[in-house]
Amino acid sequence: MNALALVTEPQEAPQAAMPEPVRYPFLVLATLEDRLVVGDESVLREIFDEYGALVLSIARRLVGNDAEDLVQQVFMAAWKGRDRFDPSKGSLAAWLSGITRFKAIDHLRAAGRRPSVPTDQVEGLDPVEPAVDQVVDRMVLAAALASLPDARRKVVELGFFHDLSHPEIAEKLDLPLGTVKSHMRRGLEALQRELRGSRV
Amino acid sequence: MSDPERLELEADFGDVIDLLRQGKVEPPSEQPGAHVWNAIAEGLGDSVAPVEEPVLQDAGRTAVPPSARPRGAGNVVSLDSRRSLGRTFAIVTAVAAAVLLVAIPLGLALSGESGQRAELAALGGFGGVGAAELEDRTLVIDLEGLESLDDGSTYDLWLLDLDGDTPQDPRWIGQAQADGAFTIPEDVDLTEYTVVDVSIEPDDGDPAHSGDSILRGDLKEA
Repeated sequence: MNALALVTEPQEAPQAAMPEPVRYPFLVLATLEDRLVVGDESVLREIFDEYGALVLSIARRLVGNDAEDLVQQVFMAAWKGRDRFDPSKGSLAAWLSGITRFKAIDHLRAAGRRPSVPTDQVEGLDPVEPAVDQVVDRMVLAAALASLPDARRKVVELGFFHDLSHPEIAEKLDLPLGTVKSHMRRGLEALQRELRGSRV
Repeated sequence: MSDPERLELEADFGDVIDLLRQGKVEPPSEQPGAHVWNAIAEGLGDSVAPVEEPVLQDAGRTAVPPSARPRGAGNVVSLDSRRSLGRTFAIVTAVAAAVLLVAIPLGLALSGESGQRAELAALGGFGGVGAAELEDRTLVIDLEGLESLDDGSTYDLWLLDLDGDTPQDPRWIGQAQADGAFTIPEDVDLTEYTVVDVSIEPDDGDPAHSGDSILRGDLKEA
């Protein structure tokens, strides 16, 4: 997804067996990620429109009535720290979720309280960080799952939300078993990449 | 899941699987209000959008989370943005010539909703060739000479609106095989989306167009 970047970069020499596809520098194909990287001043509001709901939903679960203040902090930090965004490490959704994670931890520690939504898996003397991680991880995963291609998402959902085996999924979706295995592994890889992208 | 692959998946994706087993989380539905954006813009000063402009939801856009949007619906540039005349203008200028270089040989798109055909020409040295025929919102494609992809990438079919001054969102139609028939969604205006495009999409989970087009052609009355 770097059509924009190639506006000014020389194109790689085509390979003999598989030539590089043409990267048309149509603006219409430039991603929000590309534009953030090059510092396009207009992109932040589009990012806000695109991902504000995700950030707000995480913030709402973590800090309750202070959620909108946290959203404000997250997007301001994102703009000021845009040089640190690395698309190779995860999507914008994951990166923004990661910023929300750190801002929420700061906020909760400053306020001397725990997340507004308690979790049942929090242990240790400092419950703030694992409690925040628990909420953010689940939201990042939900967003990543929803963005998977349909077939891949269905395979993962049937495998883990409905506890079906690979052969059962293959039968239910009328797909070859090998395709189901491939969808499962690639789907989980994509989810893992997003999860890790939110932790950098 | 109880088949033999389970242990292997657990070993490789244990953290992800643990989270999945906690159950499904509904995607977000609450969009932050205009006052939140205004506070952000005010906090950052002149470097971002002026505060007097409404956010998109005030212009009638519904608060659909990105994860719930169809492929290709997001992550594209709004060319009518007046907020950034600096860098954006420079970018527009930089690509304008390239757009013209591509658009002119491809010819002008013709309007209409049925009985159209597009000859798909290979771009960038690819050996493939193809054709697409549109009849009653069914797009039938016939592609030849495309090499098999073994890295998880796919050939995907798109309709583009490249006519006029403001290119619109690429619309994802489906994964392209050697041949196939695709029903065009009702909300795609075929008088505007007149360019058939085949791209290579990497296996990166990103639903937006990769920008890597390999075949393209205009729908014209057959």
